[in-house]
Amino acid sequence: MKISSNTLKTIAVSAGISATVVGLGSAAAENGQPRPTVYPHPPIQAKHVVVRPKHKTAKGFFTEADINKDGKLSAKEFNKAYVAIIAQEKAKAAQAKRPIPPHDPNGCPGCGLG
Amino acid sequence: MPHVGLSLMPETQFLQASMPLIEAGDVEALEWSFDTGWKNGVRDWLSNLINVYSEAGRLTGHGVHFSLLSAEWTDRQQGWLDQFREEVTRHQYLHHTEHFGFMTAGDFHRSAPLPVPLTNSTLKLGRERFSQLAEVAPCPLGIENLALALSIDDALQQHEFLEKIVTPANGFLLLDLHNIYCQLCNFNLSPAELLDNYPFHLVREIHVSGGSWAPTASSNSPIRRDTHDDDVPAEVFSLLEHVLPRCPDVEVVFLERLGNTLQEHQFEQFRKDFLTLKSIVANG
Repeated sequence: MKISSNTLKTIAVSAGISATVVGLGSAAAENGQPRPTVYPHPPIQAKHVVVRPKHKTAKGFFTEADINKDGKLSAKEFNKAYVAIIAQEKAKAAQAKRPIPPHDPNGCPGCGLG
Repeated sequence: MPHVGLSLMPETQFLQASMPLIEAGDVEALEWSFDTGWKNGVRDWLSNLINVYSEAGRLTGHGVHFSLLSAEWTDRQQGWLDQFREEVTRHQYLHHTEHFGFMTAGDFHRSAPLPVPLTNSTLKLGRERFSQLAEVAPCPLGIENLALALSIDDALQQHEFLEKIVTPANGFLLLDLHNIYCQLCNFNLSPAELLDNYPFHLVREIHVSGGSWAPTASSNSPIRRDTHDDDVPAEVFSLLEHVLPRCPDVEVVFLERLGNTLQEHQFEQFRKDFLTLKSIVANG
């Protein structure tokens, strides 16, 4: 969904967002003058198929042996592999020392603990 | 094809992280947790953004603090309902959702939503409360599945219970996949055990998010919590690929991330998560 550059500029200026994010120079932001965006990546068109980052694919964490010839897991294989992965993740989590996640009880913006 | 959007957060760094996606036209819908703005107010940039998506018919409402399954009807809940009545006239919402469970009771004032025993009494209560909300909402109303459960049976039966709550009021389900992931982890369940009988035909909205592991006092095994404070695990994206073809009526899929957990060095991964989500929906 495209939003007009004027509207985006108004939103960015009222939020005080820096020039590097939306391409509004600070001086321009102060006097309300629009400037072309400098965001380095081109807009993604509605029908453009986004290239999925390789490290985040679902298949990325299944071993090749788990995948069928057609490249897809059967429901049974998916189930089996998933259970094994959860066990691995829990084991890793049990070993890890984690900081207490930040939480602002007065300004909690959502169901972050839910 | 379902729209893909963001759950809107009021922190400036959330806007900073999201702005390139918004500018590129990738954010097709917004979910606004409207009752978080009742207490703290809504800043101009938030209000502008909400209005843009409202006018485009791409805004959904997400209640957080009603506490649907609190048994006693209190002034606080009545106040919430009164404000909700005003809220639904303020913007053009596509639909509204609330959480299953309760977050206040007696002197227990606020927490994450907690589960209730799945009994006839709590079902009756849930139906009554859901109907109260549905009478106020001028658009479809849904309920979100809960991450926490009292037992393995409780986790396995939750979807059936949710279906029974929403069906009399013609409601729908919001399927939160990280909450499902939490139950898979915390009760050592397989996706088939938890999802094979899920009422996917009622799912109109899906949530995808990250979370965290928390130590427990009673076990060496940590529990998974839906804290919205980290990147989306690959396992949750995998669940999305698994369930999306089974949800014929899903209209929108949202990425959730608490704004106050986004540091500048995490902005890029946040955007990658969003594009991964978009890619899965586009190919699903």
